[in-house]
Amino acid sequence: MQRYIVIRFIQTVITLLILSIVIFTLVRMSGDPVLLMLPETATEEDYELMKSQLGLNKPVYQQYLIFLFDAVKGDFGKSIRTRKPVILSIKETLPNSIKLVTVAFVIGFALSIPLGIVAAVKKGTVWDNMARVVTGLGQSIPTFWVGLMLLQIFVVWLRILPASGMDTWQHYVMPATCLGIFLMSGVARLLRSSMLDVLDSEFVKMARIKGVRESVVIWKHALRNSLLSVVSFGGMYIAIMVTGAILVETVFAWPGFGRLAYAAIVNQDFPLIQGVVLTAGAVVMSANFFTDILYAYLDPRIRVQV
Amino acid sequence: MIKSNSPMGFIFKIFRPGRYPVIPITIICIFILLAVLGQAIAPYSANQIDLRERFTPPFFMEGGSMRHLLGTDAMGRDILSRIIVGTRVSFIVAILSLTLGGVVGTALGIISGFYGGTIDSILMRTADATLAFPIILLAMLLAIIIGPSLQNVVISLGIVLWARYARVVRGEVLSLKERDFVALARIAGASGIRIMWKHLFPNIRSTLLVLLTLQVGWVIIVEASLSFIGAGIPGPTPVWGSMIAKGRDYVTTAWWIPFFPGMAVAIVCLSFNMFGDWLREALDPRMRQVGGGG
Repeated sequence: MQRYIVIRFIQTVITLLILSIVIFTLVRMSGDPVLLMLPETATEEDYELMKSQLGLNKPVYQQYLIFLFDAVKGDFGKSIRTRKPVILSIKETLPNSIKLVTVAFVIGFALSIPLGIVAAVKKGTVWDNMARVVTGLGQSIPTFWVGLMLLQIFVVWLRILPASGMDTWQHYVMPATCLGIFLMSGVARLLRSSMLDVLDSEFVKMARIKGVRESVVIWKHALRNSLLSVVSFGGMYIAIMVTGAILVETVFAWPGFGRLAYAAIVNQDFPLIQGVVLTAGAVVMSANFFTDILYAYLDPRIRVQV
Repeated sequence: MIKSNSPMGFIFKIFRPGRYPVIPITIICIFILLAVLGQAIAPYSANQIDLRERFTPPFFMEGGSMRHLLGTDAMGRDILSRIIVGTRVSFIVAILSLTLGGVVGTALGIISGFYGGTIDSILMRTADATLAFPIILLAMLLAIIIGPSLQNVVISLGIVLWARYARVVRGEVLSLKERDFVALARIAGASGIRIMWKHLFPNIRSTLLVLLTLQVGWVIIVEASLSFIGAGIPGPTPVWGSMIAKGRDYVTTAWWIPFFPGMAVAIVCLSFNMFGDWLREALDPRMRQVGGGG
């Protein structure tokens, strides 16, 4: 297990390094990075100062190292628009996003686990078809559009939920549901197919032969093992949630990380977007790392393989 | 008898007599037609501004008129016309990015599965890393550095798509290459490239087709999402995603501005997904009824 953790850790670090190289190269490719970093109103002196700060007169590999060490220290420069250090904005908004995503994960799983189980256990029946329609719709309807329509219904027509902000639990209802639906379809479909595999396996047959009650077979034997494959896709779901959070936070003006990203795009704020992308990359990669460890912990076969 | 390996046989295999998902196929055909004809059948020019007609509601609402069936936006542009013209953009993005991702991903997937070893582990690790990275971030970076454009959207989508294709294709190739016909081809002295192109590729065509169909919807949604946050295709081209984005400002007063483009996205995606699901069951022998097909 220790060996596995070490290997995965090294892989994570390498992936992050690759990400930093990609961003570094993209910035250099686009022409003059100083122009990207500076506001349009900057003077000639600002330009020279920034150039020496970034060490652009040095060889490329040194420039990369400076960029890398700054990034590790959390120094992404200042926002072009607000002149506020990027790292401060990130620190303020990231916790808000984590709160939202956590609630959304709970909602997503609360919806998808029963859906997946029903679809698998009642395969080929009306229930299965209904689950298929629900997950199919979930995959076909754009999340941000669902958000806008929820706004229209619950804020404009029914006036029972607040439109934006995050002070009370009511504020969580719409954004978290929206994100949860985003997650639901994929998880439910995955769960259905892995439940079908597990229900067909020898140990489930054995349990049934032994006379174990059907509910125990489903909830204890089958579901536990099916959730393994859901965990193995954990990294992908986190990537999906980052995308979802950017869209949903934009719709509901949630003061989170995604909204920060959106603001960065709208304002063409390069230092901000660079910080956002690197941080998001780091969050996603470390989440990947931890889900893989969890997966290996839950499924001993993985540990042995490496 | 038609050889199942020939292109004709392949088409024949898909449209074997049986139950077709008529509604999704019809909807897909209608939207393809809209994409091809575009402005030619739109009632108004997509960018024609008419400030006297601002915020006209759709025809079934009070104040709506038959002149603008789905209403108008904040600049008095006809929403129906913009949706029709926007179809083409969505389809172009889908075709380009699926071709890019599909070709690269299939080639790398076949190589990865066929040769195995170091190439395989490097390619698959890269594919995993790509899949775990939210592409929206990449698209956002590109949008700011190079400026939002159709190329950026296609590149960003292609980068994710290759990994999906590579993974699936590799899996198929791994099991195919153990089969006798590959061994026989080797004995007959066929080169690696010949085996991959002549023997492995034809056998994964149906998997590819299913994957392709199932991903059209995904591509259209992601493209709309990118346009929604301003990292997609810039105006004044009518794009479904940015039409929804513009509508956000008026959602409290004119809900139809974001509603109809979103419906277009949902209907197209749902149709492609349903068609893809059907195709998978029709082409995948494991899911076919015993004795059916050939």
